[in-house]
Amino acid sequence: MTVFKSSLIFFLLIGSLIFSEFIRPVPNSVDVQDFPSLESSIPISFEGWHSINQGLPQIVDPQAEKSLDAIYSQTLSRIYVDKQQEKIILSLAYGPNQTEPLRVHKPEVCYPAQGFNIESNEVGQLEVAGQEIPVKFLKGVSSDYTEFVTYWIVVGGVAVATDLGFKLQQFKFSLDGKIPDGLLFRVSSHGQDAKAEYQKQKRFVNDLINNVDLETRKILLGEYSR
Amino acid sequence: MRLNMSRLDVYKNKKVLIWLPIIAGLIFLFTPTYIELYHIFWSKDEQGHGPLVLVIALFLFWQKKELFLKDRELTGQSTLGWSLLFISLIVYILAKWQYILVAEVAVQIPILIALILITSGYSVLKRLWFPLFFLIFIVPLPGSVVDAITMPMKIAVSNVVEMVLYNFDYPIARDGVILQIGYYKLLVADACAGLHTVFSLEAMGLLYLHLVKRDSFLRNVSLAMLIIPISFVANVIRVIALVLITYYYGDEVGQGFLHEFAGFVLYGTALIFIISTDIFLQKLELKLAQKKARRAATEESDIDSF
Repeated sequence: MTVFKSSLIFFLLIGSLIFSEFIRPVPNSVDVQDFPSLESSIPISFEGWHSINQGLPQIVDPQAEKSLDAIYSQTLSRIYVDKQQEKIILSLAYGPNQTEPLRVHKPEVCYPAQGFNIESNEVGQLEVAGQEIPVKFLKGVSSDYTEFVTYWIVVGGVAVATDLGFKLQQFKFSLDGKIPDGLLFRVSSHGQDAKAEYQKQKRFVNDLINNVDLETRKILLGEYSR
Repeated sequence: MRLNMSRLDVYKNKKVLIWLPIIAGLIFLFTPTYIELYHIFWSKDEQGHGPLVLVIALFLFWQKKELFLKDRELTGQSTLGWSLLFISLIVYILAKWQYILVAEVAVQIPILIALILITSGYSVLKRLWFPLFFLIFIVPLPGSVVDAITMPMKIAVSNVVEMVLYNFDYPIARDGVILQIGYYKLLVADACAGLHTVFSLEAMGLLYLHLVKRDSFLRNVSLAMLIIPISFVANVIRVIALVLITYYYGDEVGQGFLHEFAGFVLYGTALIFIISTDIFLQKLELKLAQKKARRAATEESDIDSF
């Protein structure tokens, strides 16, 4: 071992650090956002749907809330009721940085954490305002309570449903030295008949999308989605 | 005399000149990684053992520092070392580029192995296996692994807690991972399932085995395996403690200071279990050895009588 060799190691290590920092995408700032407020861009009532304040009994986990703050810069959770008293829960969560530890949580993971058992999990398409959006349909059961979920994630402006689509989008952004942002769009409802619930959710999503401005629509569906 | 002294100084200085760049390089290389690790994982409860493992590992390396100060003849081993170093650094760069923190942290182990191979050779590497192995416990568990194991463990823990308290006539009911006792509903959270506690207890258990220098292979292996049921039981005890605290003193007390206290209860019970299991195994082994010796003795006396 010579001083020359050990200096060589030093420069190798430092070189790797500098090079990796150079190609590493810079995180998007959380505070300086031109991202619009979800709270104000999602209407309270539209096409007979109306948001009600009192929610279902929710179990509050302070630990979980703390870590959610690190991931999401905005969250929105509302319960809408239509004239027939049909209920839909709308949950939106926006995170500015979709890196692996800070990515939006998938409902497949959130529901079991709250005591639900995912009984079915299917990838599908949802026709929203003339666009085909890739979505996932979930059925979560917790003892005698069954909840049906339709969701998708808009990552870096593209709606995806699967993990592969998500990772691909992450990778595409990293080639440009960027980190994509991500929005989780989730609707859920309580019921027994899967077909009826998914149909109701489809109606709700279409009603909602038809009643937001163009910018919000792009945010919710993805700009480049087909 | 003076000549000798200065020669020694020169020798020491040379050693410092060799090691200083390597250590400085390592510190530069991994400081950003540890800062991120701190922000994302260590500041949360689940991976709270991380900093402790790091300090212990550094201490274990420091204990063996004299290994690095000897001159050694190295032939052939450094080629392997250099290639490992290059591959590891490429992995490090890719991991940072794609924000895969797990790989970024894990790759420090092959980097250290490579540097030890280059500077000191295989024999030194062999003597440093434990601190290197111990560093595994710094690597945060990948999210997918956590998700896959956490749920069944949570259900099992809640199940056992319900059974035990029900048998003690507490008004308890369970629905999935939600326990209801009296007026209170408690969600057995991910942290309580104890995947991470299993991880840190495994670390503590293996450190314990290393420190007491158990030479018995049987005891090493059985204790390493028993750590999993032990930490399961310790977790059940912790959740029972939390449920009872909430039942008797209310929700706020249960979620406040005593929540932390229940964590200490967990580690305490687990440590006691580990040590007593080890003592038990030790006694068992001793008995087996005695039996063997006695049998050998009787066999011998049998032969004598003939």
